[in-house]
Amino acid sequence: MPVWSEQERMIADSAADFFKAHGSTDRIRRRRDLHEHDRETWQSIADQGWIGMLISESEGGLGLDLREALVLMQQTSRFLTIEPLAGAIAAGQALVALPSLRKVKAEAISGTCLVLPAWGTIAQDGGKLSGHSQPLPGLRAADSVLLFDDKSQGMFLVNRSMKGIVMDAAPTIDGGNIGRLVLRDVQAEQIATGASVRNLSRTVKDTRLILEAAELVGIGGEVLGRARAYLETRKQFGVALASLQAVQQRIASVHVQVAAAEALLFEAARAFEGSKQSFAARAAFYRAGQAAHFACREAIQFHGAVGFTDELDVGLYLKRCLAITAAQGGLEAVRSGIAN
Amino acid sequence: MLRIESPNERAFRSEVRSWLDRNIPDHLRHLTFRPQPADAMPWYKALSRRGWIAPHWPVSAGGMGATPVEQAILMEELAQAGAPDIPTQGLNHIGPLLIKAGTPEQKAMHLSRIVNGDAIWCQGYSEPNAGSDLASLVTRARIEDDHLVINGHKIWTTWGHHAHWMFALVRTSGKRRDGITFVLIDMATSGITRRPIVTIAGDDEFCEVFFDEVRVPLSNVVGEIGQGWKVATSLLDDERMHLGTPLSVNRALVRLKRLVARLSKQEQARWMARVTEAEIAVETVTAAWLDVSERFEAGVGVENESSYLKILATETVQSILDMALEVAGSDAARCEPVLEGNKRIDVNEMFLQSRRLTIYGGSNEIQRSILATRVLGMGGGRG
Repeated sequence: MPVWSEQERMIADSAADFFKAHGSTDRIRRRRDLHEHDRETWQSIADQGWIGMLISESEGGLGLDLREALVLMQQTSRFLTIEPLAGAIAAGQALVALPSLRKVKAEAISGTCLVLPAWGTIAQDGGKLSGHSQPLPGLRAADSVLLFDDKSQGMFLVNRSMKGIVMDAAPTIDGGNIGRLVLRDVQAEQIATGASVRNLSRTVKDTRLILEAAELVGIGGEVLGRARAYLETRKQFGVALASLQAVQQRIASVHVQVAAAEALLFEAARAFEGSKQSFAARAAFYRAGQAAHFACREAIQFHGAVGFTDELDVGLYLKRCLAITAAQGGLEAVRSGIAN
Repeated sequence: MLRIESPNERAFRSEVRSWLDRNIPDHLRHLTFRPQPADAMPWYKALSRRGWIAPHWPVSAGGMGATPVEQAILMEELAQAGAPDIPTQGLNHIGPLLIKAGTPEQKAMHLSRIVNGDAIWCQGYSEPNAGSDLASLVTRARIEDDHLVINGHKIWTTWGHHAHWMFALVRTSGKRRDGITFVLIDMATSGITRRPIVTIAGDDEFCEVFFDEVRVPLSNVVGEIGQGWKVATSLLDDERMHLGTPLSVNRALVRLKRLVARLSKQEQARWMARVTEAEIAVETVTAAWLDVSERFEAGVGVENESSYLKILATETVQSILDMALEVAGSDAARCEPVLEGNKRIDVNEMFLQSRRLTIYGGSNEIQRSILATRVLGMGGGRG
């Protein structure tokens, strides 16, 4: 697995300290039936500067490079953060590019306004917008949505207080929510149009995908570690399960897939701003999703009956993993996104 | 390779591409078999003259001293151009080992002949009762004056019947890992008998080798007498990394794509998602190999990580070729390659050959045990 630099190690450690202090899986257990945005935690995340982690310091962000951001995102999912951080960071990539959105950008970074990106089909009729977005994870939390219409190359910013906006979301099994943003004759301006929108849309989409890929790799690594620790301590037939070859062969297979997904993730980061960026982001998400799902299922099996209980945290990771991949329409959809 | 290439790397890629385009003889492109020495060695020598035969060797030893990225570029372009397979035991195994552990005389005698293609090497490790459990080998060598006298039987010796030299492990004393000696054997020495073995792919890629009172000068011992296990395993990570390179997965992908290209547009659309899956898988192997290679070069913590590369790369090759069989449809079982105009398209040859990948070089079960016990620290297993 990639070796972290001193700086990356510090980022990882401080993220670990932060999430330990902010409840980790206990927090999710307390809140998971609410399916509501945890404003307090979100504000704390914003106070760390993480929403603007990819935005340069001169623009009010942390100025991390993509690799460092991936290290951080891996840590957030290890501690089971279900907030739509990847989406918010990705939206920032568009906010920073347009001087007209300066104020929104500042509010987004500071945590006072949660801006998420979405894609959909929007019809314009005399300055009024109608249409709907594709399913957006964390919709209930969003104060504003940066909406891209790839077909007409339009980009819009709408907020929940606008007349004609419907933001109904269904609860998801990780404790979050997902839903379509619906617009009915909404009075909102088109922010940008044309080729620049195409580029921004691509940047935001690819950034969200690679950040979520990092979350998935984090989940894979976390459940692998938990399974490993359990197999070392659990004894049956007078021996540690870890000593059984049948078990060793299987956990080695999990390691191979998680390690490979992590290598691909960091290689994909080196493709950003090049011609293979979109392929790389999707490929990284696809393999990370496969590896994380595989690791979660195997981890449940390794734990035996207790793996099937709600009391064990592994189930929470499986549910988070499913929520992340489902929000992209599933792994198959991500793969066909490349093929087409 | 996904990463953005530097201007130098881009220039190198286009130089490699155009040189391969001009220099690979037509009758050797996209072969289904590794060609016999009469065809393989002239190509080997052409690559050698161009300076690209030993990208991973240091310049001081006659290699190219290429970075991992340059090596990956070479492999991708060789696969894309359908360049023929060449023998690698000299380049990937004994060459690097002699560079590290050989005497000055051994280096002077052998290294340049490997690079030039004047000497073909084979590996004499496995025996009928010592495969994955290599330390149980029983081929014996006794010391007489300044010679080792070898009696025994090696098997699964890739290109053993074509080789001029063998690097072998023989037992000079003791049990298990103690008392094994690493020795270089001139295959022209009297007392050596070779018998080719036909594989399920129908080729005779490997053979068995019998030793009857074979006399080898002691100056051909690498390292100390009885220290052969240490010598042989000192470059194990390095060697396994060669089993986990992007070369074979790229070759498999090219075969898959050539089969897909024969189909109607409609059928091609049906396979598109699977081809994408294969492309992602190839990039995954490449990313993993680059990551481990770059850390290996930098000298940071890759011990036993080669095991994961070997598993990943070999199983990816097999999965892509499984897919290729499906794409081939009713042609999948044909004896001969499919001809499309003057294009020869492999249907099942590489699939059959690739069954060996998960067996040799320490079977993938052994690699998984290594990962579980040494990388994941799972207790109680055999280490």
